[in-house]
Amino acid sequence: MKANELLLWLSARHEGSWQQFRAAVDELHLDNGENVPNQDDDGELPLHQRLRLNFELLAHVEFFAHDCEDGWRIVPPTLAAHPMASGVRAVFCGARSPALQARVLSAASDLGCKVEVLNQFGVPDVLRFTASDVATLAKLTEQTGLHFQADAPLAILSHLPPCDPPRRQNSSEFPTGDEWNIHEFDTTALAWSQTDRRKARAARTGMFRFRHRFHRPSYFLRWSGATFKVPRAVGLYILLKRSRQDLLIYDALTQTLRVKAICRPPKLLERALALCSGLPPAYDSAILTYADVPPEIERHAADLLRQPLR
Amino acid sequence: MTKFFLLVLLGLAGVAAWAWSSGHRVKKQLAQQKEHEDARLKAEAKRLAEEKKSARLAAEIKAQEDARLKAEVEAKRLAEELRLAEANAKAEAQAREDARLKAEAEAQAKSEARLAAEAEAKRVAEERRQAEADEKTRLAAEEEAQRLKEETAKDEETLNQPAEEANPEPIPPSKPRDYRPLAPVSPTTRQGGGPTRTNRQPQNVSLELRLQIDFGRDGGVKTLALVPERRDGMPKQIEIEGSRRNEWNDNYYDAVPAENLGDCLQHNVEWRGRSGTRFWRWVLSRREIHVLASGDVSGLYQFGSVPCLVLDADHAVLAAVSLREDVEAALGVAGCSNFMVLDETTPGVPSGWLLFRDVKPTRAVQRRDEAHILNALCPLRDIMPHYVGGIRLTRRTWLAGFPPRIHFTGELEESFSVMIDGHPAQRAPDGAFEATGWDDVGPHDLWYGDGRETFALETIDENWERWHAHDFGTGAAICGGSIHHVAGARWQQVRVPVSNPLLVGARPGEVFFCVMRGDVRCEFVTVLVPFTPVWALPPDPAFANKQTSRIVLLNSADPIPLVEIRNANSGARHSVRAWISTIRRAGCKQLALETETNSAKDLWRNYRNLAKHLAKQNWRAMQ
Repeated sequence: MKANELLLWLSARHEGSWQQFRAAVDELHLDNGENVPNQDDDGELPLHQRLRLNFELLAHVEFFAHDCEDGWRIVPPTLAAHPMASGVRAVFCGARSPALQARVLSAASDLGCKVEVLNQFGVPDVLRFTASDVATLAKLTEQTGLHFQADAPLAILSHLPPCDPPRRQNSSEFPTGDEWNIHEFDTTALAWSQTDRRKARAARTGMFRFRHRFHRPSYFLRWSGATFKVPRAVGLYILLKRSRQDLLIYDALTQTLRVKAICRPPKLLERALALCSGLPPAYDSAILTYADVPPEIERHAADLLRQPLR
Repeated sequence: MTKFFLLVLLGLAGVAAWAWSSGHRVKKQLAQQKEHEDARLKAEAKRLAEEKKSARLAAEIKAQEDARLKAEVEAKRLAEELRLAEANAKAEAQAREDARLKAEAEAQAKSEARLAAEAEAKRVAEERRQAEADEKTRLAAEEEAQRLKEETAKDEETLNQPAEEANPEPIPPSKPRDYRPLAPVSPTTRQGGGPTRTNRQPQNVSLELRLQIDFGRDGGVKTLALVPERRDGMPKQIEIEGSRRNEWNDNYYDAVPAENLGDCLQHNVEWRGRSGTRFWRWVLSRREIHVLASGDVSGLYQFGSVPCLVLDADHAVLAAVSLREDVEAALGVAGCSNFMVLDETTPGVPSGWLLFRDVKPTRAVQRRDEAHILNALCPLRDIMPHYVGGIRLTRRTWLAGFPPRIHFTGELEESFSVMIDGHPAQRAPDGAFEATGWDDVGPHDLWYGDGRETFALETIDENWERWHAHDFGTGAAICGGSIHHVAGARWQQVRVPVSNPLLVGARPGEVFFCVMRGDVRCEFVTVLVPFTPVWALPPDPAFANKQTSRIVLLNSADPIPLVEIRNANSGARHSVRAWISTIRRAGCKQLALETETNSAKDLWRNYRNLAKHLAKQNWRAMQ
């Protein structure tokens, strides 16, 4: 499983640039020809992007965050727990080494935790530990030197800002230059369509994507005639709230949350949803499905996204 | 007379009666006045008592509120102190780091000056060598032309003679063209429309520009890029042709995807870069054949340019369309079979060029002369180590437990032997060489033929640190799957119902009011508290709704009796007062417990008793 080796490489290097990450993906995944078609962002993603999203989602690595603005940095090993009907389940996030992994598995076995190792393409082995109470998992982390986070999904959600329109004093400007490829988000078709700078400037409300071959895409929200640089997902949900588009579908029976792939939630909110199961969302027919999401977490997430529940 | 007396008596009687009635009326009025006054005084006393009572209650509420506010201020002060201490420590560390960086920068500047001097000397030598090579080529071409002329004349003479069996040649006959190796070339005048520059700054260093190809799953070329070389002592960030590039690894800067590469490769590609007052130059010389080897060999994934074919390695060859037959013949001589030829109809293949895929030479081929263009397709007999797979951390370092397979390129004779750390190595079934302890942690010496290299295996440094990766101003930072307090203190995390933000700990004085966010409706939140909370109470227990409000038990911990309060500072005294007041008010209100178990009831009773006891024993002392 090449994703395991990639996680070990990231753990050994601690931090690096985006190009180094891409080179490592190329180097480690070349042998198996594990590559996927290059499609638009509402479909499947290139392998390196898919790996980035999965590693970020499962809280192994932070990309483009504070202190690693141009690249990535490995997160210290953490057991992210959350309550379940049958006890407490924790997911092993962050850095790994072969020795550390062996220590954790051995200690978990000694403490009587139920251990699950799940294999999935594009994801390092998902290690899940289930215990009857939080204290057992806390003890496991004490013995192995891991960080422990109780109620991880709720803890993350409790410290995230909602998708509300930005304040006027935080306005910014579109990037200058003619080499930018500009798209506008169509809230009816839920797709990006080509536009130009003049139309973007004239728009009173809208979401615009600026692409350049040597830069990461930038996203700008036009709101009440002002321009704001915002994360992609935040801007989309602000816009979709305004156009009264309901996107979230929750099945309380199976505890699954479904959302269109192009309207992927903000990454930290998505991380909270993914940590409920320890697995990235399943992708099928341009729909993302998050598993094992308790109603409480779903309500909190929907409120942060300013979306009604269906 | 009698009548007179009678009248007098009657008058006197009347006066007496009037006097009596007047006196009685006055007396009655006085009594009434007294009664009224008593009533007024009573009412006044009652009013004063009520006012006094109200004032006492108000003072008590104010004192509690003050205590709460002071507790919050104290908590903030502590947090601020911690933050300042951390900031000071950080500033000191930064100062040390700055000093270290300055020293390093000075050393680096010296090193770069030395490198620049060396590079300049190399460039001058290279120019001389190139000039000699050009001259040699010119002479060779003249000789070849002369030879062809003579051979043509000879052929014409022998047209009617029987054809002789062709003498097998190491490489097929071809037109002599210049092949310039990937080493930096001398400054040249650009051909075509690109800007022409001469090397006016003799201190500039010429570096390599290498080609990189990334194939898509559809068989086409996904990315065709140019990669600027990086050498020791060069900065991590550099400005190349006006755009900033970052260090990719020790040997390269970020790859630059190229547009219209077909046209670019028709000419010399030359880039200029600078960092501060230092300048560099990258050159990819014009040639009609570019050989690219797999990442294991070239260091660039999936394929990166190399000087020539390497035996038993995977390659891709980019060649001008006009050379198709020559290249196919040369590859055949080198033992390549089953290679594919992609032309410009394949996505990503530049116009005017052909891309040969799945090229794997198996035979060494003797070269004609140094300048022959097809020499790039002649694999050498030279034996070089070829590290395949493993988890590579740096150029010659791999992760312990994931070592590379050690193969060799070139022609291996029967007598070829390999030693690793002094132990003779044996061939494994996959053809790689292994010896005792070859994959142990640490550096290893690899001896082969008459060559020697070192490689190392390292374990992972498990000193991973948490940092404020995402901070949205809530007092907590998110890092991976966990949150932590931004001040760096070890605050406790606790999940509390949003209806019960007033938290009480086991130690008198441990009282904390969580500021709940108003922008999200939820039942529970995770908050950070400077102590381990035991009870979660409604925001103001005295005014809580008894029907709906509950006392929530968070942790079962017995109260810790207060030992001494006299010497405590005013903040601590206020905190203790707030702790006592909070518990007593909740108790007086007779709020129900959320979980009415006997143990919870007993615990709550213990807290109430302690609060009552402290209020009686220490209240005066604390004033």
